This record gives sequence, C-alpha cells and structure tokens, in this order.
Amino acid sequence: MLYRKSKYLLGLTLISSFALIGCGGGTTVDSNPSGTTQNVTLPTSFSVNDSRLLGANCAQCHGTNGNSVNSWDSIAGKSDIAEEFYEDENALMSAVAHGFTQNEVNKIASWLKTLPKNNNSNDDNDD
Amino acid sequence: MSNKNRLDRRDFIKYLSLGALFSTIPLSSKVSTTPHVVVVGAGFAGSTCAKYLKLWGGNSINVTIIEPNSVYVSPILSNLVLNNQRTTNQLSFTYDKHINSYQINMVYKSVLNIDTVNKELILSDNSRVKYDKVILAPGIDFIKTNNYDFTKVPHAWIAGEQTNILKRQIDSMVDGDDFVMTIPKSPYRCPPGPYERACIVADYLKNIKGFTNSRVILLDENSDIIVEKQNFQNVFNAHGVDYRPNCKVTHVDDTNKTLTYTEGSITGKTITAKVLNVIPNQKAAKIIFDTGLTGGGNFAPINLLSYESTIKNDIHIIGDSHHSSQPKAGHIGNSEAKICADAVLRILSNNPLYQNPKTNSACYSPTSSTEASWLNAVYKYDAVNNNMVLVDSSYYPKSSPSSTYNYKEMFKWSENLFADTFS
Repeated sequence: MLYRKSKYLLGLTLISSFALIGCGGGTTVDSNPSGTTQNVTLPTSFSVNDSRLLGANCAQCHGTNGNSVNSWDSIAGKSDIAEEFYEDENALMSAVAHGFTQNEVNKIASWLKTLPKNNNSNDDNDD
Repeated sequence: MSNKNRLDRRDFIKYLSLGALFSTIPLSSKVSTTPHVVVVGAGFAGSTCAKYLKLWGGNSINVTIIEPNSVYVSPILSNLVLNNQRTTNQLSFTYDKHINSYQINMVYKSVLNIDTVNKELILSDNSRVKYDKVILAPGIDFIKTNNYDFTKVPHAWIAGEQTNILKRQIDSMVDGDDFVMTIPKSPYRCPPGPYERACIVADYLKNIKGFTNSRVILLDENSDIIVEKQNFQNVFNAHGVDYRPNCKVTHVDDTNKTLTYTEGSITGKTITAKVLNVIPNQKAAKIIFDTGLTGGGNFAPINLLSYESTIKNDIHIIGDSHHSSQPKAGHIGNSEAKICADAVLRILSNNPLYQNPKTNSACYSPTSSTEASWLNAVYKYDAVNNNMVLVDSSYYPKSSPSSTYNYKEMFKWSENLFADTFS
C-alpha cells in the first residue's frame, strides 16, 4: 500500500533530499537542500518518456522521482505499485487512483521501478 | 492542434544544426545555439516548470527564470497564519535549489513587455532577454470595483505582506467587532480557499479568542458554495458563519470600512465591519493582456497539450492565467507545469506531443486549528474541445470532510508538494 505504513513512520525527520535520474554522465552539482549534501545529476539530453510524464503526477505527494521528504511513502524503485494501485486504504490515494487506467498504471509502475531510492527518503519497499 | 507546434523555417534550420531531427537535443551543442527557455513568474507553476525543464532536459537547454521577488510566500496553508498555526516565514521559499542544483539562471526583475517579433522579453530596467520559448506563469490580477487601498481593505489572496496585514487587523478586533469577507465570482484562484478562510477566522474568534458577540459574515458572489458544499455548510453551522450567496460587491469604502453590494435583485445594500476582507474578482496577470494573449476574455486560451498560446507562437501560459476547466491552484499548477515542460522539450527536439496528458488537483483545506478537509480531481485531455476535463464526472470532484486526521495529513501533503516545486 502506498500509504499503509505512514502511521508507523511519523517520527521520521523531514529531510528534503533528492535522487534524480542520471541519464548518462550529465553534469553533477552539489545541492544543500537541508544541511545534507546531495548530488543532483542533470541528464545530458532529453528523451521522450510517456511513462515518466504520467508518473510525474505522483510527485506532488510522493516526492520528486518518487522520493518522499517525509513519512508519506517513497515509491522510487518499488516493484509492486501496479498490483496495489487501486486497493490503497488511504482515501486520497484511492481517489487519485480512480483517475488512471490500468494501462497508465502499468506505465507508471514500469517507470517507478527504474528510479533510484534516496537513502534519506522513506523506504517502504518491504511493503 | 494548432500549427503552433510546428517549427518555422528559421527554427528548423537552427534545430537542424543541433541535430534536432533526432529525438534528443545533444549536450555538445554550442552554448550560443542551445535553446533558451525563459520562465516568467516563479510561483507553484513557474518554479515547477523551470525545475522539470532541467530535470528532464538537462544540459540540452538553458533555462532562465524572471521573477521580481527573491522570496516566494506560499498561498497554500497561508490561512493558518491568521490563526497562529504558521507564520509567513515558515511558508517562504527561495530559489537556491533552482540556481545551485538545476543550473537555472535567476533574474530578479519584472517583465514589462514581450517583443514577439524579435522574440525578446523587455525587462523593468529596459534590458532585453532573447528567448526561443517563453513560459508565462504570472498568476492572477484583480478586478477592483473602485480605487481603494489594499492595505486598509486587504485581499490576502497573494500571500506575504497582505496575509500579515489581514492577520494584524483580525488581531485588533475585540469581542463584538464583526469580520466581513467576500468571495469572488468563479473562476478565481483556489476554489475552496475563501470558504476555508471563513471557517478558520470564525473558529479563531470563537474558540481561541473566546469571542461570543463577533460575527463572521461571508458574502459570496456565486449562487452557492462551489466546492465541498456539505462540509463547509457543516463547519459554518458549527462555527456560526453567516453565509449569504448571490452577493456582489459594487463599492468598497476603505475609510469607513463599508461595503456596498447587491444581494440577488436588491441593489445598494451596505454593511460596515471592523475588518473587511474583500477578495476581488480575478483575471489573468497584466503581462497576458499587454501581450495580447487573452483573445477578448479574462484568461489566455492555449493548446492544452502544450500550454502554448493559440494566439501567439512560442509563448506558453501555465497556472492561474490560462483558460481551461482546470481549477486555478498551486497543486494543479505544479501538474500543468510538468505537461508544459515536457511539451516544450518535445517541440524543441522535434518530437510529437503526448496526446493523452493527465493532471491532478489535490487540496487540503484547514477549517480550524485542528481539522482539515480535502478535495481531489483528475483531469484528462478532451481533443474535441481542446480542454482538460474530469476523468469521471460522476466520481470527481472527490472530497473528505473535516477531521483531525486530515489536518495532520495536510502537512505531509504540503511538505512533498513544496519540495517537488521548490527543492
């Protein structure tokens, strides 16, 4: 479940952190979002990616590239999103899920699976 | 789809030299020929768009933000300043991450005009900035009934100093003083926002200040509560908000703090209060009108696949100034920004636009110092009408009534939304 463990994770420190896609040796710069140095790797080029565009709808609640900055679940690197998408017990997630077709969910899931998990984000991968 | 998505001959030659017939814009392009995308305005829509242009386009494009303010105060959660749950400092964001992490050029100036012939922005110091694509995210402007002083009758609908002015006025009230606020005709920024504010202020005066004789009167130009009707009605009843629909403000007297308004067919009604919070009717920002992008309406018509103006080439409009069925709000502004960023990158690399975009709107509304509700909708592209429409109008908008659980969850939502936008 995308939110199921949230209540157990309320004590996590809010860490604004990144793990952006590296699309092959782009320029890396330091960022310092909240006292911890993180690297943001910018891609060398733009590549069309319909799944990424659909999946960007997740980021407002689950963080940029699926890495949440708080106890709401990170979804980067998760492999079971498609199976759980429509059955989440969180009412807001359930409402959002209604708006996406199975085909779209499969695309989003295939993209999320490729994303690196940030060490500082909430890791719900054992869910 | 309009012909705006086609490259003209000059662009074609330019991008041909960049290898743009391939699906990528190569890093090895000389700086002088790297496409330059300029984002004007850095609220939720503009900040997100600039970030995602670099996140997805990387070193293949140069991105500049032109924004007059070095600090942005979020309107989202700003009603919590009024009841001491947040300060404007806590809702303030800088653009350090845009500069340092995403290599975006920040120019802290205003745009006076756009020279669409030479593709140049004319800034407040008369300097010029050339663009290949410009994305306008300038927010809203107000339609005032008459000339009055916003520091005496604040709108507090652009967060920051206005929020603190209203806060100070509310805190100057004593038991028995009245608070009167008005709701503009839809469409306006943040549909639940005014109802939310009335709930917050009523709860604050009654339950925190302990006032028993003050009234909160809500004059709505709309014929009914336009979102989360049952929930807001319940909270109005619980907190004693006097809600009056079909009330259109016609004059504001900032000296005597008196409103003149029509209620239904009755004209010339007046009401005086210690604190007046008039939220005026709204239209696109001035730069949209000055550039001739409205086509006679109050907002800018666009191609909903790319957010490019249907009136002028290479100008895209996102957020509150564009015309569509999507609400005007920060969360969906973030969502629109990603569609636009992706579309601009596709156009610059000569790729076809994605034909089935989805956007989502989610918004928590605090209704007291301990409770909040939420509202959600997902939109899909309607090719016949060039619009974004509800995926399922029998299901959306979906909402959840005020609760203490939602209040706690609201901050998880806002933290991730803020981070996705500004970090």
